[in-house]
Amino acid sequence: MRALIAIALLAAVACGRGSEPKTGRDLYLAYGCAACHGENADGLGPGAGLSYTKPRDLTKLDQYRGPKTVPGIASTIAFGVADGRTGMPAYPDIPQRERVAIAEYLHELAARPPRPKLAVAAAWVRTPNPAVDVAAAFVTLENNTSAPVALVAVSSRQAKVVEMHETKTADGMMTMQKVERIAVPPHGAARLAPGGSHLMLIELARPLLSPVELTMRFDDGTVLTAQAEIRDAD
Amino acid sequence: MRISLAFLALLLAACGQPTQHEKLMRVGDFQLVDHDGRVFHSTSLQGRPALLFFGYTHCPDACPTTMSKVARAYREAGSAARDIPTLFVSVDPRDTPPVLKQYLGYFRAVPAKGLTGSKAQIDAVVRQFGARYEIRDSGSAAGPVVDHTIRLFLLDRDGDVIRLFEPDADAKDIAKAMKGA
Repeated sequence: MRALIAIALLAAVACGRGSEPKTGRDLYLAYGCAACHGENADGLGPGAGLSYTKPRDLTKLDQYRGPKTVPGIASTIAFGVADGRTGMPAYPDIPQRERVAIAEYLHELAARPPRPKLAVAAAWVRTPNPAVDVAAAFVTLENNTSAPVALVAVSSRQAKVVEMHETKTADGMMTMQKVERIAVPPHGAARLAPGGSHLMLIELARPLLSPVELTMRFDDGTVLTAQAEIRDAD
Repeated sequence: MRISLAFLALLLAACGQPTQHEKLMRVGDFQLVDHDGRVFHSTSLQGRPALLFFGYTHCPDACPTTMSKVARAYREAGSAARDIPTLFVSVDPRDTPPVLKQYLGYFRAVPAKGLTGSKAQIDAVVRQFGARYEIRDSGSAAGPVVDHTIRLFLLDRDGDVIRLFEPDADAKDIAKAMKGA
């Protein structure tokens, strides 16, 4: 862990010469804080798993064990957390001015509204062919939590049934399967896109009006709606 | 290593191509029913190259994706591809000639001909192209699911396969091959 931080720090110092990072976020990244605390300061950095103590989610001030004020945080950065109570080492070489800038950045993060646990983005429906009563819809499902979730049901007022389908191509052959759930990994996304999975809208309203509202239910009880624009693939 | 080999292969292919096409697969004649309900005999293509792929109109993703790509290829190839028809062979018995005609009429940029036929006729053509399909009940409200080969075949003037395009093929490559066919 310490080695990792040291390497990150070294790299940061080496690269930083001459370019002089300015903002608190720049400094946060330049000094390698993200190695443990994560790029979003949520405690989920690549080195988090190596630490015997879980790195702090720095966006939640109320969970800090140490001081929460800007000078207090700047001091924690300088001196670390005493007696190895946590994995937070001391960084006495970071100038005071920069420690304050990092602390101010963390305060700024804490003041932001929390990111939604689940989100739907980039929803669209392929223009339906007039000869058939089905259309495929595509969405990106984002999971900002550390627990896996799954999409388990979709409905729309403009389709009698909406199913989840998974297509696979192997050896030039396309196979399609109706599935009961589409998993969205923790801190990750499930991208439904042509050639992969899609939502199949069956028995469409005619005319199908854009946008098509899709109501999506997840296995944690979350219900989200998305406005899917009707368009062609390209 | 792989890259340099691929590059070499490309170079070689580029040198050898313009004069003679290597046939990937000899297909032989076949007979189906076109989207106007008339008998279609492959010999009617009479010395014209053609694109061909298998599909079905209820296909929600793969077939429209291929169709849009083919449309892009026609736009890219311009007048050189005007006489190259695209044959859409449906492997789904629900696709009657009128359904096929309406379905393909939607893709205006593609001079497409929908083809169907008896099961025996369809199975024969599928075999001739080394393709596969399977109609399954997957519990979907949209009816049976049809798994099928989604390769795009480019046929030369003899009706033999000279190029195979996988689903990730680029429209520009298809256009280039069409122009050279």
